[in-house]
Order: sequence, then structure tokens, then C-alpha cells
Amino acid sequence: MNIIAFDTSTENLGIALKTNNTLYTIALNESLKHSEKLLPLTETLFNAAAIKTENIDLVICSKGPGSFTGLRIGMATAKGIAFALSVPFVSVPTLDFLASDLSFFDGAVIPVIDAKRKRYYTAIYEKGSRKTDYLDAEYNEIIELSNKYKKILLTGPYSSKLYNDILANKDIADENIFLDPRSNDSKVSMCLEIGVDLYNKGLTDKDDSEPIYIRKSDAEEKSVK
Amino acid sequence: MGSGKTAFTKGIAEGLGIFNTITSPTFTLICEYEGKIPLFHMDLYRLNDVSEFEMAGGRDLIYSNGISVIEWAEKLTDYFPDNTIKINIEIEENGSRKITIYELSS
Repeated sequence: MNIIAFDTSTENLGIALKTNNTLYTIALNESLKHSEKLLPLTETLFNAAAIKTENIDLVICSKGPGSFTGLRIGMATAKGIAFALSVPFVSVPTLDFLASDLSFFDGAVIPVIDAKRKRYYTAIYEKGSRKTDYLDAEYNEIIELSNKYKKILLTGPYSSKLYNDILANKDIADENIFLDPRSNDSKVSMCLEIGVDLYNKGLTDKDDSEPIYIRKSDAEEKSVK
Repeated sequence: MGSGKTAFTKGIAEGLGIFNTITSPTFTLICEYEGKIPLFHMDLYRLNDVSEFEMAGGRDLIYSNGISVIEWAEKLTDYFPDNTIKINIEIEENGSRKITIYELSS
């Protein structure tokens, strides 16, 4: 079985290809060039594995939250390939796979994605299971949520900045907060793994599947005059 | 309208080494140009709500490594980053323009 997975939800672009024997991955952190890079680099992986697009049996992509543009590129590409080949596709919530390799941690695992405007997409995980909704939270809300836990571990491409801010503000004691040493690395291989799990459980996406944007409703935004 | 917002943007574009024809993005919402630094020229005049801007990828662009020039920015209050420079163009009675460039607030 040949499986391709894309993560386009943050500034890190990750692509993973799993064939029967081998896992191939490419990751780059060139900010938001996903539309230019995704397909050529996918082809590079196909060439490395000596397979053709029509040999793909399952397509997986990140579901968000994250960059709106990035999410649409990933999902449109995944859907396009899946429809053309008549194979299933599965989308995996981004925060889930960012946290998924840290379920050993004895405390709260908090993946964060920069939502800009001093906000973060986040959720809280304990022992591999999600304890909150997918949130669009401010710094103070994250501190408040963290205070329910003795120890917290931050991960995600933006977490080192948040970690440093928290240490600088002394909002959480140094000995209780940890930073995933691989927080900046692509976790597209985890996206692929969880996508395969979902597929094995029969949880493939429908044609009209959409990314998780966490759009604030217009009423909440002080917006258009 | 007709105050010279697009003409002003052309000047910024030239400064970035962009000599493409800069047209008003009133109908396209966002135009992208490749220069020394990317230029994103936006016009929010026709914008109905903030989600329309977000779905067009506006947030990704204004926080990226480019310069965003945003016409009718007052349509979205409290949306833009702290390092936003506000520019006001007024038409004087004699037809000349009074351009005010505000300091960063913080």
C-alpha cells in the first residue's frame, strides 16, 4: 500500500510517502510557499520511491487549524489526487498530530500554532487524549488553562517563542514548563500515522470535508463598519 | 475615491523595483507583485465581513514577509498588526493632495 500525506497547515511544509517498506519525508520551513512547492516535492518523493501517482492508495492531509491559505492548498491537493484516482482521503486535525508523539508526558501537552494577532490555535492533551475543544486563544487564556496542570509541555512550530514569553513573564514556574526539543520540526510522519489509523477505523473523509478554520463569527469580531 | 491611493501604491511599488502595471484591486481584493520584497496591494472597499478577508488569505499575507498596502483599511478596525503605518490622503480645495503619514502608535 502506498500512502501520501501533506501537512500545509503552518509555515512548515511537510510531505510524507509511505510504501510497503519505506517512509520518505520532505520538510521545509520556507514560509508559505506551499502552492509552489507542494506538487514538485511530492513528485520528488514519487521518483525516490520509483512509484507513479496512480500507485497511490490513500491520501492524507492536515485538517487545521492553521494558515487559511495553507489549509486550502493541502486539502484541495489531497482531494484532487484522491478524486482523480478514486482512492479514499483522510484529513487529520493538526493539533492532534503535533501532540501525538508526546503522549508519554506526565502532564498537559499543549501544541500551539501561531494564529497571528497575538492569538494561538491550541488544545490541551493528556496521555494522548484531547481535553479541550480546538481553541483560538490569547496568551492569558493559555496560562489560565495551564494552571490546572502541575506540568506542561509545549510543542508546535511557534511554541519556543511562547515558552520564552512565559519564562520571561514568570507566569509558570521554570521547573513545571517544558519545551518539546523537536517543536520546530515537521510532524508530517505523525500526520500520516494517525491518518492510517483513521482509515483503518473506516473514518475516511467525505467529498464535502472542510478544513478546521476556527473562524471567529462576525459578531465576535469588531469588524466591518 | 480618486484621491490617488493607487498612484501612491505605484510609488511604493517602484521603490521595490516593481514596474508592472499597478491597477486598483477594487474588484480583485488582493493583488500580489514580486519585488525586492513582495508587495500585496489590497482594497477592502467591497469587503462585506472579516471572514471574507480571512478566507482570501488576507491574514497570511499581512503577517508574511512582504509589504501590504491596504486601501479602505478602516473597514477592518483593530485587525492590523502593531507595526502598521497609517496614511491619510485628503483632496484639498485646489485639487492638490494632503498626505498625512502617522507615526507607529507604540
